[in-house]
Amino acid sequence: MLFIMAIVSHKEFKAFFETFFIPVYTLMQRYTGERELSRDFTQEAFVRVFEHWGEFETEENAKAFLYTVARRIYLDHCKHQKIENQYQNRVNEEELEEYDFLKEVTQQEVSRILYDAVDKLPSQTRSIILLNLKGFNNTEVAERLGVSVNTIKSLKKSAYVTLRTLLSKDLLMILFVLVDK
Amino acid sequence: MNLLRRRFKIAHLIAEEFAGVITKENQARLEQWRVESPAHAKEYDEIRTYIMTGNEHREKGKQTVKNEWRKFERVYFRKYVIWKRIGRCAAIMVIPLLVCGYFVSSEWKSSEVTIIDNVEIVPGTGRAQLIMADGRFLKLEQKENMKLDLPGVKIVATEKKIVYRAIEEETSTPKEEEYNTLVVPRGGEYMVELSDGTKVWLNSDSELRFPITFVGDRRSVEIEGEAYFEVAKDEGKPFHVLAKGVDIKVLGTSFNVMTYRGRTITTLVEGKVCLTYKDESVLMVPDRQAEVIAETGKILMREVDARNFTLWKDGVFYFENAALETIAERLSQWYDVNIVFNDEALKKLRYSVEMKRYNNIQDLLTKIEKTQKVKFLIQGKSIYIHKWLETYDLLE
Repeated sequence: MLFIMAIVSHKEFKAFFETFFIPVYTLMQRYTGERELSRDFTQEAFVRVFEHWGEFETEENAKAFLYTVARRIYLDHCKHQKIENQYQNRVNEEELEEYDFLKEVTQQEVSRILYDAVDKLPSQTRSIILLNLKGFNNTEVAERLGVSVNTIKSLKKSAYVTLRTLLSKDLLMILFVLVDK
Repeated sequence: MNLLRRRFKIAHLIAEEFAGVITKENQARLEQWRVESPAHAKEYDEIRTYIMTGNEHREKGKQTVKNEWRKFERVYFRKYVIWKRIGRCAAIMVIPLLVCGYFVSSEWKSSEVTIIDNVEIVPGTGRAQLIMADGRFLKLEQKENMKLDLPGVKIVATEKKIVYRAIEEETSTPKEEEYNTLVVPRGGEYMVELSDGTKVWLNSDSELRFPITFVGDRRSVEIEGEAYFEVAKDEGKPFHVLAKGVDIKVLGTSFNVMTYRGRTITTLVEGKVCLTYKDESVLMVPDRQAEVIAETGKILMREVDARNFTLWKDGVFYFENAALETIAERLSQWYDVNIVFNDEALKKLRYSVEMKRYNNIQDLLTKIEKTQKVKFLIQGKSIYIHKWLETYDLLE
């Protein structure tokens, strides 16, 4: 029984990891500008979440903890660097930085929610939506994909139905990923 | 935290809007947020640009996630990973067992014990499993050569070794290191030639994790169990071996590493290595052996004849004044047997033995028995060690 529970939490955590790795990794890259360091910080953030896994009542709690702790890891790193470089600490720096943090998280979340949903569309429908997101209109998309505008329109209709269902379920995404596999 | 949670909701609304599926009600909420401050309006535009321009790298990102997950899994779901492997092996083994069971069951009733006793104990052979970066598993024990092409490298595997050859091509983009893991089970041995020409011999029950090609200004691999390294010289790119927290920095040299019950034992044959554990570093010269004990954090140095510690790779068992417990442990790894001491005191007996590894296990046991201190009883895949009794003399 214990073994079965271990598998469940493995699956659960894997889904969480796979969903949020890129957003946090991208965020860390924006901060540090360095890939290896960003990977380490992101790993570290997931380790901290893992240590508290089971205490989070909702996925949103885990997600909020993840982003917050990632930022904390980065800030601690900066503090450490500054002590090493013998720079003066500026007290209000963290507050200045907080708005930036919220902005970056929002951007990463939009991208994650949107693309996680779009990725689940059938391939042709997905190409249409991706081109739309890049700013191409229906006529241009039809030309690019070599199909009629009417085909585009009807495929988009079915895409919207799927996307609406997926996005309304976003908060249950982990469950969805599980069922999907 | 509350600010962050509000942002999650806003992000969700924006994603809905971009996907073209936002409701009128939510659209109004989003609009309200947008006009709340000029900063919000600016931010909204930035997100739109980000979505319109970005995301060509998503496929590459997926590979990164896979690799990173494997790293995480190996540490935090270690038991799960092991069970997964056992599960795979078990599935392969259960079927023949069922088939055998069916045929033998009629004869079983008369001779239940003897069938178990008939299991033959054989020396180890070239056997290993390769875990690829994408999670694929390859069994490396087939007779014919196996060829594989991975980005930047050609791989040829035979019964006893696997060779990685870097393909000469100048790629402009900096590549990420892709890791393979070679797992040598009990009763196995295997050799790998890495893409830089470094040769590594792996003993039974050992694991080596290494990049298929080395990127950047250092070469780095991880070892668990026992391995003998012949590192290819490249002074611009030092070679690092990580063994249970011990970092062995090498320029071009050969040495043996063994991790064993919280100890890491490094024996240098040739060249120079710098060994670091936590904050302590030592420089080693040939014929020195460093033993790091994780529990105390100490590095013990001693002088040895280094060649004796690498004989295993040339097919020789060599023990010099070794505790019977140590000998038993090595034998159990190589012959894949269980060794049980019926008397704890026997573990401390010391022996010096030399023998060909491919010989029958009985040869070695008989040599030890000649001292008339211990008696070995073989039952199937288990060997019981008893105290020598006077009566055994009469049997001889």
